[in-house]
Amino acid sequence: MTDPTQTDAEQALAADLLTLRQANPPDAAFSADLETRLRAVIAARATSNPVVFSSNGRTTARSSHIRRSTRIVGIAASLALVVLLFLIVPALRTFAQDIIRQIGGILITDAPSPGEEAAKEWERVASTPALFRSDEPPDNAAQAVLQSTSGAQINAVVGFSVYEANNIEGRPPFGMDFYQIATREDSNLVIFRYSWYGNQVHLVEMRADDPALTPIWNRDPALPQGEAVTVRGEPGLWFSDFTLNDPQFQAQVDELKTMTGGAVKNIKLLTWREGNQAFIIQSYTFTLDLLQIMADSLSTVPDSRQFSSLWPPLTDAELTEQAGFPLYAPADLPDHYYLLGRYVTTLNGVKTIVFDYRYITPGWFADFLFHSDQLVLCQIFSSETYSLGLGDAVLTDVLVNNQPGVWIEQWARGAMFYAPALKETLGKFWDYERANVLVWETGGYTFTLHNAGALHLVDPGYIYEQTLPHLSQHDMLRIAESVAPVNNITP
Amino acid sequence: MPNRLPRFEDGTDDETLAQQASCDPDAFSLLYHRHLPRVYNYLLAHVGNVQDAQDLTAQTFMAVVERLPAYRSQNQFVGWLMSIARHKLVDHFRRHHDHVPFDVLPPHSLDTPPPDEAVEHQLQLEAVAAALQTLTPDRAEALTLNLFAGLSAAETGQIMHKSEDAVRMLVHRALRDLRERLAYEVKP
Repeated sequence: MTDPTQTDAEQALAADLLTLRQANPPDAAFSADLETRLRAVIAARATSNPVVFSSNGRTTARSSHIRRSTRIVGIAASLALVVLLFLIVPALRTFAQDIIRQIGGILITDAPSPGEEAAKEWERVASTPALFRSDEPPDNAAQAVLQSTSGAQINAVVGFSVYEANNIEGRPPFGMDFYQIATREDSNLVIFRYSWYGNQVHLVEMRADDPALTPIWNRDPALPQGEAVTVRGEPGLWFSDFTLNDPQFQAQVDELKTMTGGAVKNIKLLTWREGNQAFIIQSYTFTLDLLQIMADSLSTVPDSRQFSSLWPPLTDAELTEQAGFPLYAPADLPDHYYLLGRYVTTLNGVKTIVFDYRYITPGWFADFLFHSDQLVLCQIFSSETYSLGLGDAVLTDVLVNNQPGVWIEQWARGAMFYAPALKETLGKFWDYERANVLVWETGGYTFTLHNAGALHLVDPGYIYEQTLPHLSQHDMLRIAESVAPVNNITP
Repeated sequence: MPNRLPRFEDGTDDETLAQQASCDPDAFSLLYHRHLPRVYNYLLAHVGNVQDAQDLTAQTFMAVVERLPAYRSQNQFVGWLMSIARHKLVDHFRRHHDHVPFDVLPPHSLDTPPPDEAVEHQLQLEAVAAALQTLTPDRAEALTLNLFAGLSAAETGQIMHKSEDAVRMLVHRALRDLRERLAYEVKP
């Protein structure tokens, strides 16, 4: 390449680099072998069995596009499961462990990490038909009302909701339902519903009784058509008092608190309810003709940062009162991190104040990033103790404000689970979610600071891995050393 | 590997092929042969060894095959493809921790060719890869996408979310930095 701004030396270097490139083509044998393998995958996909309905209504084989959509659902669901397992698994570990370090109330042991436990559990559940079972929707399942105006033309659309299902370790209970509607060219229609309660995975497959029924959800002409809006450059629709019902797929939901945005971005369909607000984002790459909504009223377009508002805003005094001990907070945060929420909960059986920060990623999907505990500060009383399995992570001793602490690198705090269909081609359907963790003690309180760098996001058109920058040990220490009591509030 | 591709011409555009490739091996093969060199050379420039480059290339195309059914034509197949390759690369470095920290190496600590040999200007792959890792990520990325993946400034900018002018500037600075890191001089 030539560029008038380049010097002769730079142009010569560019030319040499091009020569270097040309001198190192892909090896022919490698190229041919890879092509053969990839063609085999495609050929297998092209000849896969179509969807077949058995007499009991279960799908016995699925078309390939349904499998792929299932993957999207599975990955989306997995992120929620990561958080869930992160909360419950440590408490389940009761076997003997060798203590490597003790920092305040936290015993760091050689036990498997939560991610390792979660992956093992997932393998067990997924390979045990009795656990991976079909079920009818529970009474408190979220409502998913889907409408198709073009029926068989739609490949797949997913709607999913977060709702309260059960109570785990005192944390505000929640579960997740994932609805997928998929149609095939011959107008059959299948809905998959996945529900996660704790570590139980339920799969419900429902179907239209008769392909001739498609489209089974016709938009009621009397229903409002929505008001066109633009949200951050994206076309959207606002609906008020909009409800679509179909008895076959209706359930009741008590509270719908949040939506995870990445998958929504992918499926071009967003609905969530907070303060009786609902929002639908419209597809911009293909015609949106499925809608999922439950709303009482709509007022203003919410700030997109509210998408992940899991927790109501609490004052310092309210947090302190709930925790029963003084509140500490960091004064120094790295660039691009902002507070997503803070709350008091019980983690690992210990009352904990949690500050949850989110990294603002560059690019258009920043507003739709999955909530994924990217930077989390936890504070407990040092008199309370719990153990933290190190797993395969690497531990280093550090000083935080001249007090002993530990730096844990690449800790598998959770596992990302993909839908089982992915296993067919990749041979594996989970991966670790790794975080770097700093543990230290200050003023009689023990703190952990987690930073997760890798996230799996769903991008338009494909699933893709987004890697956020891990904060350096230096940055994490800087945050830790800025943690100090807030306002001297006492409970 | 088939020797003939019956239903697609060599000139068939990427978008048409991509729409068919999820279930048509012939369409995929055309795409594959068209873009394999750019993906491979881009990865090779970053990792500096054939084995890793091949592994990452395989991972990239496996991901492409996985994601093709959901690919929506946006007239940017190359950008989509290279984004996948980039993420595989980032993931590789994240997992292996084998990259040279940005400010660790002094400019002349790399394996530069012996100055008294006739191959003075014959760049060594490993040295270039190591030197690239001492550049700022944007510069290294612009350079590898532009020179090794053979993307235009516009295509590179599309991937990096930068203007063409910004890409050209990044490439220019990358070459300047690389020249310094490699102690590269113009042969008289």
